[in-house]
Amino acid sequence: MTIPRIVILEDDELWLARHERRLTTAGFDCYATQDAKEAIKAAKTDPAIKFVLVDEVLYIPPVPRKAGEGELQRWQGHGVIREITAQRSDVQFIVISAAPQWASDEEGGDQQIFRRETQRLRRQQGVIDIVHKLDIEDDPDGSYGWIIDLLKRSQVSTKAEVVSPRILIGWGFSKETHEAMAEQMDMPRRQFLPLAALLKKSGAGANKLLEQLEQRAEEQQVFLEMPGSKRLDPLKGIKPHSSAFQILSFLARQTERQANILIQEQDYHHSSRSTKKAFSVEVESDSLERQDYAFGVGDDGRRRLKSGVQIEGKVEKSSPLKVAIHRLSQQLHKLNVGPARQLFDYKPEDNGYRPSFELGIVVYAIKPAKDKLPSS
Amino acid sequence: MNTGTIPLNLAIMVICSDGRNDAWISLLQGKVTHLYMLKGNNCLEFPPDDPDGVLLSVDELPKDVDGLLFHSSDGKHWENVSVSARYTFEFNTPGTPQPKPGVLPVYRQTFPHFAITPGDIDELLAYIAHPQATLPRICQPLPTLDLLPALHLLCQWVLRPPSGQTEDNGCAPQWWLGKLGLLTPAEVDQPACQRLFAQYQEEGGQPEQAEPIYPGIHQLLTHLLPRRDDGYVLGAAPVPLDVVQAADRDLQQRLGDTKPQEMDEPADDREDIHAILSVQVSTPQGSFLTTTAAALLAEQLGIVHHALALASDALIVSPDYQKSPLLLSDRQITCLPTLRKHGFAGAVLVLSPSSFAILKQNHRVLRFGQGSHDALIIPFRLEDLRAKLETLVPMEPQNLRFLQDELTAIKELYDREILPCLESLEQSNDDRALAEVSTLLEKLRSKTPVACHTLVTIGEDTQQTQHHLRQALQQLQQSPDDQSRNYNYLKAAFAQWHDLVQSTAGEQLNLNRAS
Repeated sequence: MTIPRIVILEDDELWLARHERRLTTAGFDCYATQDAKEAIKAAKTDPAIKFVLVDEVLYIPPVPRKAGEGELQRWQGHGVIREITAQRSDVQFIVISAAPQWASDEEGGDQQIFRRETQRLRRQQGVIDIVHKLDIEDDPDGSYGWIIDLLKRSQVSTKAEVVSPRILIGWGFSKETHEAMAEQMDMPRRQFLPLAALLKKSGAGANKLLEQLEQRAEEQQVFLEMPGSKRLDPLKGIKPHSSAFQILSFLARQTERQANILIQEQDYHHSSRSTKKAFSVEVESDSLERQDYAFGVGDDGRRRLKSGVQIEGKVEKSSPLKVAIHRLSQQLHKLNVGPARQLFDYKPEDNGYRPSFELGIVVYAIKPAKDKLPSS
Repeated sequence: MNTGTIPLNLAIMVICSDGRNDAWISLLQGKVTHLYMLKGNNCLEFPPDDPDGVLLSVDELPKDVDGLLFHSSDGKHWENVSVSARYTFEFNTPGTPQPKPGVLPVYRQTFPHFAITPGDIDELLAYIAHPQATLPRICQPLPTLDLLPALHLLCQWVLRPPSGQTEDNGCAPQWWLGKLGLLTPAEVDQPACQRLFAQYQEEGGQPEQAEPIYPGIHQLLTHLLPRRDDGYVLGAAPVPLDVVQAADRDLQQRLGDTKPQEMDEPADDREDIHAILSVQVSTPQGSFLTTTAAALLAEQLGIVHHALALASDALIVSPDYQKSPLLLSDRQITCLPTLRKHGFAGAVLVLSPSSFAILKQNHRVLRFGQGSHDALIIPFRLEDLRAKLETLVPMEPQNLRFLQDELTAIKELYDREILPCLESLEQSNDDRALAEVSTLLEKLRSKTPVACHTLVTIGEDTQQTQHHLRQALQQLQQSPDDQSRNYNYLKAAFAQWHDLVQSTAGEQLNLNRAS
């Protein structure tokens, strides 16, 4: 297999050198530049170039400059991607963003804008991931390891590969428990541990372990992982104990059990909000009695409906699962997971719903509660 | 702080809510006995030997001061404190306050380059202390060069026409005045002619009732517009070539020789230019003769199909010309934010005595897209005008969006969200208030990514604005013991963001009001 060439476009020379050193060490052939025009030209003319690492906002080098200065290049990250994909639809992009994440989850900050920004970047044609500079600074080995892994995976996969978002149920444990699990899984630096790895190690007792861990989890929440993304975005809109959470949690457990990933009416425990009593007009009767009343045998020996008897179509009660699935689909659609109608397939043969996105369970460490600030 | 001189017995007040107040205070402190500053709702007095100042309540402010300097955007704060002053000075970002009765405008840029020197302050204080002294230079508009560069261009056309061009009717007075945008079909516009001669005197340094310093230029103008008893009339005879040559010599002497200009490579993907625009903005120091002449000559050169002049009262470009290049004088850059806000994406070529490096340092709005903004240094050759126009390309949509977002951010974010948020944080920095700040910072980053990426210095720490803001918020969240210092850090970071965005927008709101 030929080594793919990677264009690294970064206006800051320190970051440029950093990216180039890491990727060259990993065996990639890099073309590093600070100039958007040069990067576009290279990607358009060199067929060996398969990937572009591109900064979101591009100033004219040298960067960094003096305080208050800086002129934008003609093309910004978005424009570079547009220019290249217009001619080379096979080139894939990883956007490097300097956007800091203002609030951590437990601080109650609203991360919707951040998520929307990240999703806006991801929606561009050819973009396989967004990597944040702060993440690289916090964990350079992990972040570059991820980028290298992503580049290698994307290199192997055919371009027709269908990638779909993943919804992950997170089980939160204390830091000590999380560290112990991480050690057991040989993943000491990972913030989110895939439960599959732990279950695999436990072998036959996987189902029991799954139940035990679920009971012991101190908190639960839903995370969204977009295609190829390293970052998991917590979906604050889906609260534990909600119908949506129950459905996703059930399907995620099915995934981890490697069972049929399908939810049926009997798997969904619905508590009706209705306070009105429904009056039943149905007369209690034996089904054989009803058949005797309605049907008779004709002269030709065939079974026929008796004259004057009319069978009324039975009105189906609305399915609680169907309503919950509909609501969940709308919710996930708003979060950019996919078109609402395509998120769950109804399988009449199984009388259940199968998700079109991937699911899973991850384990994370609960951050210690921050001391409340005194109100002044 | 200025020391070593005896402070004048004057009371001066500075009203400004952003970082510029420190610049004024550092120049004024020690030079007057009473110095006050009003920054938002905070009032401070700066005794000559106390650089930190003393916090005052609004009631403790004097009712009368000798001199008052206020930023155009802070007029409402002045109204709130009702302080009267013997002399009032108004300043703004680019140095273009509108003249108002009883207010002296400061015709100097104050951000990003604070172009006030200690000498200027001495002049200003001398004027306040001794009213018979001459008006401080900062209150006098800098002389512009507009008519002479325009005449220089027209002389070039007549004497050294670009290849493939003939002089056409270059010698007819109608042609000259037409290219200056001054010809009206009915009759000669008398006030315009008077302005033209006044402009000649100002630009050529020509004293009234004296022998002409530049007889060639004077002769050319009197040939174009001879004066009769009832006013100026349009010259009947063609302008002789020797008159044009004499004027050209004088113009070269006054303006200097044309220097070779830096040229970029022509853009590969440049489309045909449909039209070139110029703006006839009547700002106090506005000038449009050179840009009009250059636009009309570019049309005659065949670089474009049309040359259009935008009226000063409608800075909205029709959708057909949203990507046309625009010629501006350096004094007209203040109208660019308004044009950009209304979706104008065309390239901008500034005709200016200053280089583009200096212009973009002073005008942040010119830094949103390399290849879409440039300058031609006056005087320039017609060939250079063609070459520059061939290198320029319209702004990329992303850059235009970045700029437009910044232009609306002051009103949308600063006034409506940041100020109330800071106020509520000052009253109670509980988790809810901090979460509000956190959300606001995300909005800032999303709405103004360029300002958030710009390096700024707070104290001795230079980093991107967004990282200052983040650091300030983290300190507020993590160190409850030093809330006052952390709050001031956050406020300083917001002020830096505000200054950046304000400098991009310039004083466009004032311009809108004027137009």
